[in-house]
Amino acid sequence: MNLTTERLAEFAATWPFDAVPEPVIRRVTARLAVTAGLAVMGCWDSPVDVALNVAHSLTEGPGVAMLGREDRLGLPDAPLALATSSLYAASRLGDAGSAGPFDAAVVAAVLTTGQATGAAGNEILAALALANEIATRLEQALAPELRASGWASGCVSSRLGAAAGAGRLLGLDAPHMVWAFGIAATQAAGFSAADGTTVGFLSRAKAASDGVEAAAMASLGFHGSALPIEGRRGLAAVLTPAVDDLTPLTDGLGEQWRVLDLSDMGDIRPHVTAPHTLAAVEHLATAPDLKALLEGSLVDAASA
Amino acid sequence: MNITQELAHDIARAAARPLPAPVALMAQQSFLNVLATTIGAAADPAVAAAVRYGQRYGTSPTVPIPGTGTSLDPLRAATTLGLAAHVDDFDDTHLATVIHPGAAALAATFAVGIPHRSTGEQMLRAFALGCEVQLRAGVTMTPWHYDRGWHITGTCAPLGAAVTAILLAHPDPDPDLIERALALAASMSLGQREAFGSMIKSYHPGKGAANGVLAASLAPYDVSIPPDALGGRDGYFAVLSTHHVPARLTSEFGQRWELLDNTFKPYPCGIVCHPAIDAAIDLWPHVAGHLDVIADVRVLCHPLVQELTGNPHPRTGLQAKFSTIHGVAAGLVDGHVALPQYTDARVQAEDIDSVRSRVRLVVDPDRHRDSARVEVDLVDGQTFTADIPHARGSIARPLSTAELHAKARELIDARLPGAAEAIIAAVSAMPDADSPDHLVATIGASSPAPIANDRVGVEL
Repeated sequence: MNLTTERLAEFAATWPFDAVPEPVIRRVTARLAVTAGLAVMGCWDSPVDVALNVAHSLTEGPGVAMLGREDRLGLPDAPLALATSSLYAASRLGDAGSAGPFDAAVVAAVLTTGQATGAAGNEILAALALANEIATRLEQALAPELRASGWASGCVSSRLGAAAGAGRLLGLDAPHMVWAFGIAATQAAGFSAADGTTVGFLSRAKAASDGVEAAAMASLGFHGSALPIEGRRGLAAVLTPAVDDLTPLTDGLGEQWRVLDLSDMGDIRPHVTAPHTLAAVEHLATAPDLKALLEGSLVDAASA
Repeated sequence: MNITQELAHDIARAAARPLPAPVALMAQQSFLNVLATTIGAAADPAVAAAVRYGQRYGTSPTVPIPGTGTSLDPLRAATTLGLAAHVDDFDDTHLATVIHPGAAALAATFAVGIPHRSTGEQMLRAFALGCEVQLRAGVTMTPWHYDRGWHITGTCAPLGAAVTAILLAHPDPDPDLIERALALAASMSLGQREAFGSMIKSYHPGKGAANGVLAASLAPYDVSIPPDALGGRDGYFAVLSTHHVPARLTSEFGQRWELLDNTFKPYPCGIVCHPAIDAAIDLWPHVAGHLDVIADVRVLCHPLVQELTGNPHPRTGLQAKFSTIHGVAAGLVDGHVALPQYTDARVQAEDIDSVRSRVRLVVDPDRHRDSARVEVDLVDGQTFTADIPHARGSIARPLSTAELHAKARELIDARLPGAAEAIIAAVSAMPDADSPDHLVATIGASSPAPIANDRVGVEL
């Protein structure tokens, strides 16, 4: 029996943090630095303002912080705004950042959930590594078929990656991580026809909030189906029916790290003007929490 | 004008006029029906989990969740309300599409209409148009979309909820605003059918409603949208369905209403179970109190009954909602089928289990979807049959107003003892209400009943 979801969930929930290879930590750190820096650069852009204004109009109260801004939003709403800022800033860089970091939503989900749970820096990086490993595997296996069918980039991978990262930081065990994946998988959405529009940015960024919500609801007893990815009417069957082999999603899990196939975003880094943010990320592995990163981002945004 | 713009203009035109009388009545009845199912489900573990989530992670509780004694912020409220309305599979059904439109529309109506202090007439009109847009979108891609594996109640929910929300937040909206809301909502669809049998199925209309509310909240801002988000080459319909008929989306919009084909479920389970349950209840007098005389029970039914509700051995209430065999057994044993027949305890009870083991489905490709024949063989050689040409609650045999009110009373009084008559009256008075205050007051007027042990949930 195909147990793709169960194996991915077990990986996300139980892989020891100190068993994530050092090159993987370095790669996600490099990507996090650029993505966070982009978020600071984009934190005052129009789509971010739109997302924040709407979030404030619908919900008020203490929560987690944005990068580069004093605004605090509830945990389910903050990731949308944070991911929007990275994606939009990347788009403004033109060719250098035109695709935008595909893991922007995963980063947003992990950073916001990490704030809410008071996670240490090394836990943040390890959660990011596990989440991005899952997201990358999904992207590699399903993206060609998804793109051919008109789906937006990351519509599947970002959501499950975000759920994995948030779920790990919320302490989900494997069965509850399966539930989280189910809640996230069923929300796969977004069309490539919207690329480049505000709808496109918000749709890609919403994957972050959807993933965090999925993990949070699973943590509170909201249960899902057993086979959300591989089931007869699951994500793969419905969105990518031409993909009949899902074994790449779990082959060599924990031994071969697909996240190393991602670039270190070195081509974009020279364009990122957020020195305090970059420095804070470089020291994140030994940081007790995200405070230094948040403070550094405020300094960068103020001097922009 | 592309079809997204055409739809936006049609909605704006329809919203500027009073609802035709038959539509206004159907809207009121649909509203009452799903308000009652929402209240009836308030103790369900899925609702409880959604409330816990909203209380822990949401903020600014401004929208009441009927039957729970709590309020949540608009987005979490919309999720919870849509979920609660649908979780018992007791809400409404548009038979041509199998969409259950009331859940998402009610959720959006509450989430926006209450904070905005909309009039009752505004709420009902927005509710009606929210349902209509869901149904029109569904008809446009039926049957291909559902056949592909999508839960159409979820995938259409954001569109309808966005319309409901926009109309309540902006009583005289510009078509451009509606178009932006539709474009945003189109990118927020959700719902794969793998979720059936889990709490996620009911999450679909709830989160769909929340997404629609979010889309409507984003629309007034400087938001760039793709051209023809619904009908474009890689738009909503093209990506979500292998085939669609664009003309169905806007044809005679405002003159012909899909909402008039909405029906209310008489039993809390998959609609394809209903004709067989009708038959079983009709046969109950022949076997009441003598279950051991039943030798064999055959259910002659449409192929969809086997496909969608063919589980012969459900172990939980949730599983039983997708088991026609359970529904028939419950009808034969209890003579009445409602929420109590779908608790875990009743599903696992020895008498029900024993009769269930003697029931089997016989697929008849020539049967209509809303018909069934049940044949009960007794040990003494007698055979009793009940043939149902049209199930109670179908278009051919809709629930009467009295039957709808009886359903509402049973659901509401179980959670809010003594509140049913006041709530029914408040919904009836909505066309003349100048704010939601009275409706909200009736919902909060009595204390919720304690959660019964038979609705035990799973907790981390």
